[in-house]
Amino acid sequence: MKLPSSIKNLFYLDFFRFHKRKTNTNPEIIKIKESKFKDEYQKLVEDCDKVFVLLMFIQWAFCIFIAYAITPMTYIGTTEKLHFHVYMAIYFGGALTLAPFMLYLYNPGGTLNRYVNVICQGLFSAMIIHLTGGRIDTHFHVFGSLAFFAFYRDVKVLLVGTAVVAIDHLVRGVWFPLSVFGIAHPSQWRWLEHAAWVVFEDFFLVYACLRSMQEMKITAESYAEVEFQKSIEEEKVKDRTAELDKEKKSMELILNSVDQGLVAVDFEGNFVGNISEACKKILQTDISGKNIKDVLLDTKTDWEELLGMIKEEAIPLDSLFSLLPSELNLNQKYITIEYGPIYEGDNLTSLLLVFSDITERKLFEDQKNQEIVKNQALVKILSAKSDFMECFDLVESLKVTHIKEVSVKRILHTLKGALAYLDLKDLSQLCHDCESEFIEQGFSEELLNQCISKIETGLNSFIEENNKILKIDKNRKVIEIKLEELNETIKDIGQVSSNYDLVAKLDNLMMTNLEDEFNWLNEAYLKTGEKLMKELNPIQFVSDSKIISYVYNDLFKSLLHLVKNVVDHGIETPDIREMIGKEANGNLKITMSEDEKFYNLEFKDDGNGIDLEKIKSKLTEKNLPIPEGKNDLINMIFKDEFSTADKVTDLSGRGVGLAAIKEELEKFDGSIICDSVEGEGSTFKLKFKKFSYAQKVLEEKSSEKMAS
Amino acid sequence: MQIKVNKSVTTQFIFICIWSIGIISGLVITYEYSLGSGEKSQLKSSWPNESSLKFNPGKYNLVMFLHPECTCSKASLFHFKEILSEIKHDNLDSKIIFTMPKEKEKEWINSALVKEVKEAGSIQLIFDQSSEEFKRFDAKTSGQAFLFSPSKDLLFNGGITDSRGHIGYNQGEDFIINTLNKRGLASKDVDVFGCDNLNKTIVNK
Repeated sequence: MKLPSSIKNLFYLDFFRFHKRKTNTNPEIIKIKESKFKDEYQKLVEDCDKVFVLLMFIQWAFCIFIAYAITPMTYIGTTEKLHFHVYMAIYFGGALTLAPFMLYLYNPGGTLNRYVNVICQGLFSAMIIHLTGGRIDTHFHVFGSLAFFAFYRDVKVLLVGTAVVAIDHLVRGVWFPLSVFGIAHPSQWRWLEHAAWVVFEDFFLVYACLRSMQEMKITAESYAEVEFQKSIEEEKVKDRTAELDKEKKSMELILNSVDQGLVAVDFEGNFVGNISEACKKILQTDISGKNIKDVLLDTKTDWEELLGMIKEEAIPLDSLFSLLPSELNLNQKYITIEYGPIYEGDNLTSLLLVFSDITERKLFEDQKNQEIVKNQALVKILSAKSDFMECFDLVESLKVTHIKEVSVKRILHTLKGALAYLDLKDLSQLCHDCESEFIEQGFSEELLNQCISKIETGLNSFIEENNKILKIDKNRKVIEIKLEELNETIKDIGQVSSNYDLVAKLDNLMMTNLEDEFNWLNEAYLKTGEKLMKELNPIQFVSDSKIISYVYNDLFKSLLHLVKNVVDHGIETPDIREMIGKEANGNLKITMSEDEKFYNLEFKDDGNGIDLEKIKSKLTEKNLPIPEGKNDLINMIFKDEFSTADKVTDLSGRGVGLAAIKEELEKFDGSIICDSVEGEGSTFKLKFKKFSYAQKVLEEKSSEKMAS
Repeated sequence: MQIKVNKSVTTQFIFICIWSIGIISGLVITYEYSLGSGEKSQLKSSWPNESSLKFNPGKYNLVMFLHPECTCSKASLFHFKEILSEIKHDNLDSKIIFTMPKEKEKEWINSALVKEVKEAGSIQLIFDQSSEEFKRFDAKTSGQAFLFSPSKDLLFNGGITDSRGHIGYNQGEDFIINTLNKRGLASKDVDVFGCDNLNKTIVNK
């Protein structure tokens, strides 16, 4: 027959379940568990010892009280003295209290303590029973004490306590039954009856002790598991912290290695986080914990309001950053500040400031600017040589004897204007100062001489300073320019291309007529004709434009190939020319025109034109495809290593000359095409982009840099 | 071989030994005190002739001498009253004599014991101011009881408790009840437990 589960469960105590449960076998966890259990049990027994010591004191006082209340005095006739029971309560109670107390002081929680406590408690029970004359009611003290013994959760303690009670009852039951049972002749097994009730109570208390201990072990195991997990996590955190420290140090090294100072500020303007060494060096102070307002000493910026707006991201941050100071002069240092947001996830947490020390650059730029100003003036002078020379004339005119005040003022004013026009601001200011002095001090010859002297000295100093470029003859009538030195000056100026006015002036200064520039080409043309026994008229130049030969130097040199080709292949010999009804002398006309961006240069001869059949046969010879159109066929002559000449001479025939011209033209985004009419001549049309003198100089400068 | 001694355990052991000796000696003293009987009367045969106490002829006469302030005698009085309640006839005259020196009369006259005897009603209460009767009966210890036959023969001499102040079965009470109920004439001496009724000087005299 099967019992219902509810009845079966009656006999199935949790205690037995505890014993059956699986425990963790991890040695680390077992170690922590045992240590924790030991600690907790030690705390428990220490607390129990404390409770027992207090209990002993209370029981001691109670025993004295009941001894005095029940049997205060004993008499010998009329003589009275304290009853023996009172002395007994004091002595015994004291002894029973002293032992637990001393042991607690000496070794709280010691193993011996709990056994002594149990014995003492048992003896207290015996004494109370005795003092009350063996009242059966006072036996409840024994049962109450047993419950106290269970506080130790130690079965052995309970057993010792039970043994004490049983032995007490046995011994006193034999020799002094009245004191324990209240009757003089109890049954010889009466002690056993009392002991049996104690054992009955023990049954429950033992169960409670064992269960409590099991629960403590379970709690300790849970604690151990948590601690073990925690230790693993802590180890991870420790490793991660070490990694972060390493990263932090690495980051600090990086921060300290850059010249720029990086630092963050919160939205109250306080510097936060790591501050790089460069930062301290640039700002020349330790800014840790300081406010940006106090460090930058910038009173113009409303930092509080702007930082508040940045925090709210009220308007685009770039716009807000533009309102913050980007450059400042602090302790004679020029510092630039760049700003950036620092986000943590989506949240803007602080503001990044990047400080850069630009003092050296700034000083260099200032020096450079001064030079630029000076050089600009110089270039201006070169473009207006006569204006500059007139300045000397004006100074000379001031030296006329008995000159009138009005004339002086007029000349001085003219001179001031001329110098200002030439960007000689210092000298112009000098004239202005002289004018002021005349007004303030009144006109005098002495003052005039002083002014003349100052202005002359200023002009001479300027010429002296720039004597590498400017050369002025003794009479101060002719001014010469040293071109190479001028180029160096332009290279130094650098930014000259941004000054259009100056570029235009410089270009005008450098421009020459094509005819003047191509004199050498004309000579080469004529000499080639002589050599080939061909009679030629000088080249006819038709041009309204001017050109800067310096810019196109290499291109112009390459044109020699074209001219030689014209003479060698184009112009016929005089006899042939006459035979076909042409003038004996061959003609070459060079025409130059320009538009906004390009120059057009045309070489037109009256020779026999290009032999198309010869081109075709050469292409066939070289296994090259023959273009269909006439122009395409003609333009094959510009191909590298293509020549229609039958043999190579010192003048032409290698097929490199025209290709070289094409290559030079490409440098100026240019091109060359040829138009030819057989028997009438050829026309070479060149087109190339306009370059300013300054552009060319700067291009050379950048090429030099690239090469270096 | 070097033996390691745990000082802590040794010290504790020594302490416990000394302490145990103290406890055991205390127990012995207690045992001796509690079971130590008082000085028993030397009255041997019959009612003292010189006694001024009135012997009730034809009845058993039960007399107990008490010290009014003896707490141990509370148990003796309890058993005295128990004897009276256990007797199945009225052939008994009972007296309790309290020692009541004049100098202590005011203090002792209303003691708990005196009051209890008064409240019992059926017991003849006598105060002995001169302690003469105590001397005549040689009742040195409080709780000293005597039982005389109707012919003045001493049947019982001793106490009616088995130890100091403890209520419970005792030979004295058992003997008296049996003797009275059976109207026997056997005699018995038992120990008596209680305070000294008389000053040592008086006793010596």
